[in-house]
Amino acid sequence: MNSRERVIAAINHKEPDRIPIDFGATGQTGINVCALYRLRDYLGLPKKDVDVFEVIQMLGVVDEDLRQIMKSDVIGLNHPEDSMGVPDTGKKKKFIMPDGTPCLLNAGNEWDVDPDGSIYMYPQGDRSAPRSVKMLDHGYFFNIIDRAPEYDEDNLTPREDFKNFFSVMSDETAKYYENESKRLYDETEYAIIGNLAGAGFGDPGAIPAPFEKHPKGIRKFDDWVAAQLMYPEYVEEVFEMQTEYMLKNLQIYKDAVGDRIQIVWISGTDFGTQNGPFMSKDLFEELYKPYYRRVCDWVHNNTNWKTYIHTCGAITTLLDDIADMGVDIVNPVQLSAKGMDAQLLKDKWGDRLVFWGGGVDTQHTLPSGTPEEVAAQVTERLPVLSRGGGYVFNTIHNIVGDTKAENIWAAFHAVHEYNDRHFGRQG
Amino acid sequence: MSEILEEISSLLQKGRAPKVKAAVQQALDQGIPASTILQDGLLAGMDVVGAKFKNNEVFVPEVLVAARAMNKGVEVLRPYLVSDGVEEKGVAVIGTVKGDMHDIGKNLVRMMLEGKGLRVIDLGVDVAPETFVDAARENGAQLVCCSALLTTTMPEMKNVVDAVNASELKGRVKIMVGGAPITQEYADEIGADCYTPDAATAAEAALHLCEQMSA
Ligand code: B12
Repeated sequence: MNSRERVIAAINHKEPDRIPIDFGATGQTGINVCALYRLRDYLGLPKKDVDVFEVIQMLGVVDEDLRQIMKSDVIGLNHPEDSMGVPDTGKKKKFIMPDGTPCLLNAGNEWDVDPDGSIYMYPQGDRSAPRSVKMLDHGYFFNIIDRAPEYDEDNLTPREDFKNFFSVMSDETAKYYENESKRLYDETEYAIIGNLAGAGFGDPGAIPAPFEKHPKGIRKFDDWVAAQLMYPEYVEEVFEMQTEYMLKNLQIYKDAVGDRIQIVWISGTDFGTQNGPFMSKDLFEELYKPYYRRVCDWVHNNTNWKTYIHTCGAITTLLDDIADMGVDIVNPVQLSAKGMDAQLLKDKWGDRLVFWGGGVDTQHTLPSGTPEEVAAQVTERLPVLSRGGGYVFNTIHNIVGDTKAENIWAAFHAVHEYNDRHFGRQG
Repeated sequence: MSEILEEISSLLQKGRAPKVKAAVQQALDQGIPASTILQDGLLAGMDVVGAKFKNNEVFVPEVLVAARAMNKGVEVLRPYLVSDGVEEKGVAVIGTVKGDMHDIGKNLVRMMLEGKGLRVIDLGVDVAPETFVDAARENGAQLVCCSALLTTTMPEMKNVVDAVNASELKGRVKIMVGGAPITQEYADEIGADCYTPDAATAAEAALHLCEQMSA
């Protein structure tokens, strides 16, 4: 099997010839630029400025040389605009991380370094708008700044507030997706995940809109969470609007990429916390499920793609609904959260949901364990998670900036060794 | 207990802010002392919400709206509490440590502490160690509460402990820590005084610490 066939088998719940691996294909299975730079060095790869594909979390582009060493089977079809709303014109600008890691951002980005060493960026590179994100003098990523003015609860205007938040895909973007999907499909053997997004209903990382110049309305995360109960009509109106845009964009996207992608990444809304779900099952079913269902139904009625969502945390109470609403693949499978037991997940939902992630605990083991502990944990989890297919290996969420290169390598190398041991050595 | 106080508690649990406000006013009109309304109406309601949250019977949205309703009620009571000379049960400063912007957990802890009758000064997110110390000094706080959700920002908690110990507040304030990656072991290692895994337990522990310190 080649990589694409391997992933296709896994996401169709068939056992592939080895456990497939994702390294850096999405905005939640990636690696911070600082960790990436050190990993390249550790593996003896040439030093180079790291291209950034997600600015706020400072995720680095994984180049082909590294992708091969990590044996990733998946590649992402990424948005031509970064998370600050700046398009990739091919021109880049150097950005130095506080720890010295050299990176390249889309040239349209604008930032300031304050006297205390903090770095601030402007939305869409527009210096006339208020700065929307901040990186500390020793930080690894940007923090989003709350900018929305107070809202008037007696006069809520959801469509007006979110009118610059959603947009219909431009012809230019569609053309980019068409060409890029052809390139990835024809020139590589990787499985392709289309990082479309657009159905992240109520995503805490998106609501404050660091890419918008002047966000308005209910945008602070706790206001938003409370609004779900206090002003459900507001939230519903935003979700309705979002669904309308998403369905339009799906059609344009489908016309552009056809069946060259195998998976579509639609949502990164977190429904779980460390100790339990963010919300009751009732609220999820009322407020979220119907909109997700419309999006997933469209995908299944019109394409061969599998639907993929990312949600952290303890979500066992919501997984029936998540499977039921048409989600095929769930990431990051946070086994360190309460009740998220690998065996239980496989037993109860393994035939309906593909688990993508879960490979190593990124809250304790990966950052503070020894390489041996990391490898041992991966090796222990693999047989449980990969039983019957329906599994793609990744760490739990992005690899954060200060993670030791030897631990990252230990995690991925443990999968290589497991695969060699169980399925025979591969070239 | 009087009917109106039960009513306040139950409205608060449902997050019905305007109704809580009206009911608190009604209780005042009936001549019930402000401190009783606070304790047996508002705080009693918040206690129930905290316990249910801990048991995963209600979730973050319900706690947030209940806390907003509590605040509306407290607003009505405040002038009476002040003129009656009702004392707060303790003072805490709280914030999410430097470099971290996760604030939902911190906000819930603040609300639950307020739900126990403590005065809480919320320093927001991305809070430097000196800011914790300065705020604790200015407000005469007994507790410094730090929240961190990231393994990359957890070490900031140690810096807060060190900053407190380097100041004259050493031994006069207690440091509480929490957030998803924090464990009892970690709290011990950095010399924090108290760790709890959830907001309801945090509030009980905070009250207990304040009582101990004033005893
Ligand atoms: C929501 C969320 C976000 C939101 C935050 C929005 C906001 N305004 O808060 C957004 C999307 C912006 C975000 C961003 C990021 N996040 Co985040 N996020 C989460 C998530 C899903 C839930 C956190 C939450 O709100 N929980 C709800 C509250 C109620 O729970 P809690 O905070 O744990 O608090 C409870 C207890 O811990 C305790 N408590 C909390 N504080 C205190 C304090 C004291 C004194 C005490 C006693 C108790 C106590 O009481 C609370 C209530 O019971 C977690 C997943 C998880 N497992 O926790 C990831 C998570 C924390 N994020 C993570 C990461 C990596 C990030 C990012 C770096 C980006 C990324 N994804 O790569 C950025 C960094 C942003 C920054 N600069 O801080 C990782 C951290 C991993 C690690 N290595 O530590 C997690 C664990 C996700 C994961 N599965 O890997 N995130």
